[in-house]
Amino acid sequence: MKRQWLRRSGLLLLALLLALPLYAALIAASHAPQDLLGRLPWLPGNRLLHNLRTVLGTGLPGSPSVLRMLGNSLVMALGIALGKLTLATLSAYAVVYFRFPLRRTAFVLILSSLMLPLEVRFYPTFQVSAGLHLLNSYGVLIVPLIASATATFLLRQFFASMPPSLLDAARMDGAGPLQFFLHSALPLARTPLAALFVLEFVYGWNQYLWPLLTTTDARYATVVMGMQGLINAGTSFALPRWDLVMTTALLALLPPLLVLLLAQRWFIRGLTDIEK
Amino acid sequence: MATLELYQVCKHFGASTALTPTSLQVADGEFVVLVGPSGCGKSTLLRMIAGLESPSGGEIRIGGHGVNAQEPSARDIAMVFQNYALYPHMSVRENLSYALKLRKLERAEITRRVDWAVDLLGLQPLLARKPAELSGGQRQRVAMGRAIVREPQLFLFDEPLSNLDARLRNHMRVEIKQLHRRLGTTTVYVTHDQVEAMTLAQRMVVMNHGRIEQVGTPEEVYAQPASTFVAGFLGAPPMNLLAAHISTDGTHVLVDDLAPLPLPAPQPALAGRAVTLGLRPEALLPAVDGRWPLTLNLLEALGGELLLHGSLGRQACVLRVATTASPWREGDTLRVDVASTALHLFDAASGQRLAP
Repeated sequence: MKRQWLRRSGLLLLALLLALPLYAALIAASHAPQDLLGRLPWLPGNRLLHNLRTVLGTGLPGSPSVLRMLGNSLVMALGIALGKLTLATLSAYAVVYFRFPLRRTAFVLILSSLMLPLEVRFYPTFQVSAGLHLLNSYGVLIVPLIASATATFLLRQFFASMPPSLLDAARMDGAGPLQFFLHSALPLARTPLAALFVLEFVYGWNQYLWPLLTTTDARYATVVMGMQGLINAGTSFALPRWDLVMTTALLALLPPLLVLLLAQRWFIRGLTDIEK
Repeated sequence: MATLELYQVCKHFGASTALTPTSLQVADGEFVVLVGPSGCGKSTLLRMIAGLESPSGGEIRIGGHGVNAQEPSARDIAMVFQNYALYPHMSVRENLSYALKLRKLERAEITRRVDWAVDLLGLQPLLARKPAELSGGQRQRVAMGRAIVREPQLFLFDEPLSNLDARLRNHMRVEIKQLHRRLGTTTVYVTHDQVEAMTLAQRMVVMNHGRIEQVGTPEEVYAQPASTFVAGFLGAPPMNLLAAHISTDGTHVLVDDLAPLPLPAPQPALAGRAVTLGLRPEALLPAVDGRWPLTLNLLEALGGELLLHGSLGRQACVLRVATTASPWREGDTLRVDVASTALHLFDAASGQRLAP
């Protein structure tokens, strides 16, 4: 009994520790800039809505509105997540269900690309993107990032774990490869797909270095990368606008959190509805 | 409905042979059971009939037409799988109608056929459920429903009852038999269970090591097993197989140094030969003045009958006696007689049947 109490208070302490920066951001976002000079108030203020309206509407001087940046981020994260899922589902399906020459080699090649994340192939990828005149576009934010060895691997394992007699039954029923994919493989994979979507959405949303390198035009700035510009812009005034910077940070945090919370329900459904 | 003919059908996987060239004719409306231990080639043969595997050689004809080049769905057949293979994400109704939708049948026709199958199999209360919400027996029944809505020429069953518990298995066995009686569709049924084979088959095909050991009605195969394999595979407990040889005048069979057993008819051609003597457990009868002594090692009481495990000479042997209470105890020696008409002789080396 006592040990349980100890364990719980330990967990609570850790949770508070993790929540502390978030709380600090919330405090900063809800006060006027002069309240933040030299000290951080203990309690939230009453200017959160006002600050939200300011950053979403006009933004900070010298940088695009946060609404636009959020929009860009959303396009990028959705594009990357959906692109990755589409590509990974199709290639996993091909690797599991089709007999073609060098099938194993193809799979090993896909897997080995796990060892080449974007960060180690910046230079060639940038070179190719520049050569294709993709710089400063949504294309460059999305296309070079949509191949995913992780997602392909996970979906391959899922397809390989489906009973082979399911395919036999579909063949007896007269379903072709495309019909089996659309009517059986895809609907059955919705739980792993939902899980992967969350992972990849957060991955896409959090991209920093790649958008920084490939988009110089502020119209394509994403919120995560734009934060750095905002800090510069916000602190260049006599009165540093930490209130607006922190409001933006809170806004940048929301969409991945929302996706995570929404998809949590899917995880639980996927765990309770055992469909195999 | 249709006939099924196999001509010299064989299958190799790389260097290994799953099925040696095999021929078989199945008549229109017949219920044929392929039975054998796992790895005997029975499932491979069934999958080739279905079109899920292509034969390495030979020809498969359904209703007189060669189907080797046809896709499974074009062969007008339906198959029930061991693990049911229902679509987990579709309701029972969707499972039943899926094949018909793919064939682009009219909606009214689909409804008619599904309703017919639902009535026949009593699936009405399950229609809206998903396979995960069904019991094993219900899934099996849905799988059969999915096969019959297609009104195929030929039914294939691949060990459909193996995943069910013993009680349900007996029940579904009866249902399958009744279904065949009502529909009269030509059926090929694969199982490793000899009881299923004996009870369901109009004709059974016993397979071993990728080839057919014997084809015949269950009665024929039981009464006249073609080889020691068939003799040992059918019957519970199986036939006793004793090493023996024929006397030099061809009139008696000699087991170890036990009293000679007269053959029902003299076999001069076999004189002096080493043979395997086959005796069904019920062909050995305890008798006060019996010919042979049997040392009893173990008694198994099965309610209405008794299994006596013992040794005849130096060889193990089982008797089945229809009695409830045992007058014998383990360790006793009793005398047994052999009904001489009930003996089977097989070649000691090849295991093939010699006589009678």
